[in-house]
Amino acid sequence: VTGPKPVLDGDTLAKLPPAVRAAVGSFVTAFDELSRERFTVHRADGRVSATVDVFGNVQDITIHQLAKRELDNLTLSDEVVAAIAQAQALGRQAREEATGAVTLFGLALRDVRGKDPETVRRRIHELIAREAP
Amino acid sequence: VSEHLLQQITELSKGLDTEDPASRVRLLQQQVADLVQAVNDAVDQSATGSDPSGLVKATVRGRGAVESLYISPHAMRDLSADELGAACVNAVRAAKAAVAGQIEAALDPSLRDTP
Repeated sequence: VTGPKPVLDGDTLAKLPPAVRAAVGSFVTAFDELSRERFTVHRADGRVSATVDVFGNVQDITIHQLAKRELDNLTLSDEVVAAIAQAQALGRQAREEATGAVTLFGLALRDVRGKDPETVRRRIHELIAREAP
Repeated sequence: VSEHLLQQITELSKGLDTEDPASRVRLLQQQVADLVQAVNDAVDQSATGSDPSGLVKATVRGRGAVESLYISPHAMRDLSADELGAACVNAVRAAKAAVAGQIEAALDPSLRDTP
């Protein structure tokens, strides 16, 4: 089994400052693990299911014979769309949780998302100053 | 897409050849704003694709959301349940490839500048 190609090679990672290296390393690890995960949602009493990867790419759609027999084409179409959307939402949530846990200078990414960049910059400077010898 | 972004960044760097530093900054800011706008416009697009038989069609937005899917009555009649699932996957993938092509074209300066 061949996994996804690493985002950064070891040499590139080694050249980064230690604090950044740790953050980038955990970010890459989180994405490597996530890229192997699949998110499946079942709809229509389990007769329709959609599976996507963490990036929302559709990997599989399963339609049970009963769904094909009992649902009309438009209802079945809508069920497939809904299953894909819900599976993509699960993938997005997993991605945000995994990447949000990554920390840089003691700040978790989830805590800085959507924040004013200047406020974040000041906070990072404070944390660096506090840790400086 | 990344190749086109690199081209765009190369184009942006040409703006730094201007003599006046303030003009350089203004030019660069404008070019970055144009690029950001082009990217945002591009990912808001949608495209439609179908499976090879043409019996299932999907429309996908630039950010990957499936906007709609149409399983035709012929597909319901002619395809098995397994084939129908595979046709849906193929239609979504075709739509995604089409929207990716649209985004690349939108970000390609040579195509974008063509009247």
